[in-house]
Amino acid sequence: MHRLLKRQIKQVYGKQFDTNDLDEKTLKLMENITETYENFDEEKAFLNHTVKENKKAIQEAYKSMLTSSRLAVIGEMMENITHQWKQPLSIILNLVSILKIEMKDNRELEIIADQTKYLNKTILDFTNFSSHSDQEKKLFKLKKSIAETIHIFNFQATEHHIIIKQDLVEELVINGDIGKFNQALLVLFSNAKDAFVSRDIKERVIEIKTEETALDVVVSVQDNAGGIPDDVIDKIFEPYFTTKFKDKGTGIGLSMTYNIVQNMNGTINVHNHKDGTLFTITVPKNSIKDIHG
Amino acid sequence: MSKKKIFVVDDYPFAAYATKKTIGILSKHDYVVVDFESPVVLLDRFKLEFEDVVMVITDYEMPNLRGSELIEELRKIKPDIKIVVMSAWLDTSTSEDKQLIGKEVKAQNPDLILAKPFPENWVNKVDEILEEVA
Repeated sequence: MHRLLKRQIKQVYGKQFDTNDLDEKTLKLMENITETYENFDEEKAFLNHTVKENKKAIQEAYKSMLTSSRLAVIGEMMENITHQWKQPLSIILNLVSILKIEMKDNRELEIIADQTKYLNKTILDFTNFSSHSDQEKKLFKLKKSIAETIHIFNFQATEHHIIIKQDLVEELVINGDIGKFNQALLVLFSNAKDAFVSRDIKERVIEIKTEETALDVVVSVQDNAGGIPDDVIDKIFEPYFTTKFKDKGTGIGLSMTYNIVQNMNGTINVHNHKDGTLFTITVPKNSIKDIHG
Repeated sequence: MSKKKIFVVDDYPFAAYATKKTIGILSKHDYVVVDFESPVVLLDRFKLEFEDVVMVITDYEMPNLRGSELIEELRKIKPDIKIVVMSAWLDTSTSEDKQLIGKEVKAQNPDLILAKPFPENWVNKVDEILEEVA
């Protein structure tokens, strides 16, 4: 007899009750109900689990949607500010250039001219990072991009005693601007370096790994620098968000990485994993044949 | 013979004025530069004085009359008029409609495109074009 049914009988009729007192048909019916109930319970657990999983997926999708819409709004705002500033800057620069002719060797005027040029340069720097008008998409080998980036980063790695471990799949090809993708990776390395230094981590390791799925290429960058606090991890891709001291960070790096990956029709995610931060970039896969054909 | 003229138009206050002043002082050539804040007013004046006007420097995004429309009207009256387009939307814009402005400006085939704020040697570039008509 079913364990669950035995328990139910005991509960209802007391310990002394003899199941033989029930007729066979009733017993069978009860057993059947018990079994159905148990199946139902399993089903319920399964459904609960599925609902939980779906809820998690929806939450994550919602979160990434929020992030990208927020980024779009901020980007648009920056663009408008830049536009508004260009007008007066243009006028000031023009008038200064006239005054420079009229008042030769005027130190105050030179200062105004330099400061205005500096203002101009700043707004251009801040807007250029989100610009993709000059971007040229081409197929390139992921391994080449990683090698170039490590080559650039090598000096800093040596200086700050950082070990870079590589686990790379050969011949992966993706579509985008290799220079920009290098920049995107460099930001991740450089942020890890900053975290190593500011937290005074002893054994410093960055692991870069590539994998392929049916349609995508996955690049993961893991460090052991202690991770990102939960209260800020959702904001790190926002432009001008920074946890670093003002002279060290403009808050542009990771949002630039985000934009570059997004322009390649890819996604970037961040998690606290093991004893550090794990960035996962997923971009559509191209075949090596495309590069020659 | 009356002096040759350059017309400058920008709806943003003082922008055309500053451009006019800068050309007046930095240009090698001796032109009368007239500034406007309205492309409609410029067009009316151009209809009267087009024979003397050799160049029109215009902003692109303006209310009432867009740069493209103004250029079209100017060329109808004087096909060989030199056109310089200035815009603050060029180069750094990411949004698609703003990038379209860039394409549109190029399609107008102006003699010179100046992104605001102007590059340092911009008056030289204007001078080079003026040399062609001198």
